[in-house]
Amino acid sequence: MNANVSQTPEASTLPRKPTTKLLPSLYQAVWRWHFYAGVIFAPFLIILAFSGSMYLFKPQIEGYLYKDMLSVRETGTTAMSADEIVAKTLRAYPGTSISSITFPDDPKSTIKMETIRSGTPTTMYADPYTGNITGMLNSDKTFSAFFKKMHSELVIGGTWANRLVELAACWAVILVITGLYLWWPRSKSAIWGTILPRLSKPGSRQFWRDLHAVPAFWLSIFILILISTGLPWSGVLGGQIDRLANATHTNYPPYALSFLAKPDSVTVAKDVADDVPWAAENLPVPESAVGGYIRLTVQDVVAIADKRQVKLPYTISMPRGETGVYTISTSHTKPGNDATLHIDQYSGAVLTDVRFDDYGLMAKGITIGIALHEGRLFGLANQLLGLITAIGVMVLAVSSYFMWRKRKPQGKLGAPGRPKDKRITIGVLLIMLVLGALMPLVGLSLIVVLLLDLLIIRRIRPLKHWFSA
Amino acid sequence: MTSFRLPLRGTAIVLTMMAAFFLSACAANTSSTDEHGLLPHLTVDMRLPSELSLGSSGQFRIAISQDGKPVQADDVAFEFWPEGHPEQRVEIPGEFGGSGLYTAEYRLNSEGVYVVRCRVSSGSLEAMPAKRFAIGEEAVLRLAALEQQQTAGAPADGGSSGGHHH
Repeated sequence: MNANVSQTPEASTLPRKPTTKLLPSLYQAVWRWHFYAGVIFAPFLIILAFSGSMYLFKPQIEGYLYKDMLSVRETGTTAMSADEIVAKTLRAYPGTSISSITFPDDPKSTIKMETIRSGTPTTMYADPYTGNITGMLNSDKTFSAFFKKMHSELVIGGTWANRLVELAACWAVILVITGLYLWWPRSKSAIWGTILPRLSKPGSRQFWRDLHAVPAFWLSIFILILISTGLPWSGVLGGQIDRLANATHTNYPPYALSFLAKPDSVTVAKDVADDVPWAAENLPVPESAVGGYIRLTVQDVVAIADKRQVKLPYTISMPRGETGVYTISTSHTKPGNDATLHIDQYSGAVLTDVRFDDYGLMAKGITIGIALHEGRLFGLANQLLGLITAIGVMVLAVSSYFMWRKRKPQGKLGAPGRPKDKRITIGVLLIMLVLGALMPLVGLSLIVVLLLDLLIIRRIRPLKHWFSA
Repeated sequence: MTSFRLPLRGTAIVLTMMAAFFLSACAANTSSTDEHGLLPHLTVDMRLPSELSLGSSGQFRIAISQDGKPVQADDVAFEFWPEGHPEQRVEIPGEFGGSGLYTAEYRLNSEGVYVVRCRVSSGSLEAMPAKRFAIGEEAVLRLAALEQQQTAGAPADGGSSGGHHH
C-alpha cells in the first residue's frame, strides 16, 4: 500500500533484468503518458462505453419500448398505396410535411414516416393496411436518438463536444498502445498477471492491477477495432480518412450516400407562378391552360425500386423543391445489398444507382466497419462482443482508479515521475508526436499540454510538485 | 529456387498485371457514369399546345434526348386521361418526326382538367413525364389550384395525379 511512487506495478512481482538502464527509464516515461492520458480521458471513455452499449441494443430495446407503434395489430391482405397513406395522414394531421417513407420487409411491421409537425421533427408510424397512424415520436427524443447524441456529442451537443469525443477516442488508441507496452511480460514464464489475473488477495494493489492489465490485454484488439470503425464518422480524422480514400480512388462513388449531396432532376420544372399571371392580375381566365410537370407518385417510385431490384426494407425520400429528386436508399442491417438511387421526380429517369459492389475498397471497409461498430454485422454475437468490450472499458476505468488510489501519496497527484534520462523523455515525446501527426486532435492536444507544462506547471513550485513534473 | 526466378521484364509485367487487378478490384466503380456522376438517362421535353379548344385536335409533342443528343426511342406512347380518372386512360402511340421528336394528336370533347403522360423507352432506359392541361374556365382555375398545391410542397396525392398503376 505504501509503494514508492516511482515503483512500477510489476516491480514487486517481476524483477527486471538490471542489464540495461534505458528500459526502466522507458517504462517510466510510457507509464507517465499512460497515467495522464487515463486520468484525463477515462470519464469520457466511460460515457462512450455506456452510451455505446445502450445504442448497441437499439433494435431490442426500441422494439420493446415502441412495440405498439412498430407492429400492426392485424395483418391485412392488401396494403394501401403509399400515396393513399400519405394523403390519409395529411388529412388526419394537417400541417404535417412528410420527408421520407420507410417500407419494411416484414408484413407485420408498420411503415415509418419522417415528418415535420409544427416545426418538430416527428417520426410517425402507419399501419400499411388501414393507413391509420399507430403512434408518433419526437425524432430527437427517442431512446436511440438520446444515446446517439451522448455517444457522439456527450448529450450537450455541438462541434466542441463532438471534437472532444474524437479526442478521447484517439487518446484511447494511445492508452491501448502504451498499456500494451506496460503489460508486456518481462518474464517469459509469467502467465499469471499477464493472461490470467491474480485475484487471491482481493483489494490489494496486485488485485486491481491484474483486474486492469489482464482484461485490457484481452480486450485491446476489440477496443482498437471499435475505435477504428468509429473514427470514419469523426470530424477531423474522418475527413482525413475520406481524403485518403479519395486519393487512392477507393472511396464511395459519387451519390453513394443518401444523406450527402443529391443531383438535380433533369426534367426542367417550369415555374408554375409564371404560368398563371391571370390569377394574380385579375385578367380574364383563358379558355385553356397548360400546367408544369407533375411530380411522380410515391407508388411510381416504389415500382422503379422494384424494377431495379432494390430489396426491402428501403426508404424513399421526397424531392426537396422543384429541382429535387426522389431518393431510394436501403436500410438493411447488414451491408452487402446497400443501394442508393436518385430518381428524376418528374420523368422517373434513374439518374444514379450506386450499389455496395460499386464502392471502392476503403468505402467497403468503412461500411462493414460501421455495421460491426453498431453490432449489426453478425447478429446477437456481434452485439454481445460490443457489449463485453464496452463493459470491459468501464471495468478498466474503475480498476485503474483503484490502482491509483492504492498508490497515491498525500499532497500529490501520484503521477509516475519524469524519467531521469532526458533522451528517453524526448524519445517517447517524439513517438507521441508521430501519433499526433496521424491523429490531428492528439497532436493539437500535445501542443497544448507541452505549452502548459513549459509555461505554467514548471514555473509554479506547488503545481510542479503536485504533477511530479 | 533460382529456377523460379523470373527475368526482370517478366517480373515487371506480372507486377503491372497484379497492380491493374488490384486497382480494378479496389477502386470505386464509376465506369458507367458521366462527368456529373450521373448514369445514362433520357431527358424528355414535353411541349403541349398553348391553346386548345373543344372539338378540335391539339398536337402534343415531345423531344427525347440523351446527353444533349436526340434519341430515337424504341417505344413512345402518349396517355391521356381526365384528372382523377385514370381508368379512362386513352393510349396513342407517338409518331416519329425525326431527330428525337414524337407527336400525337388528341381531340377533347368535354371541358375539364386532363393529364398527358409520355411513356418512353430506349434500351433499358425509361422515362414517363406527365403534365396537366385544362379546357374551360372552371377547369383552368382548378388546374391553377392543383399546380399551386404541388409547388407548396404537398406530396403528390395518389387520387388526383394519375394513379395509373397496373
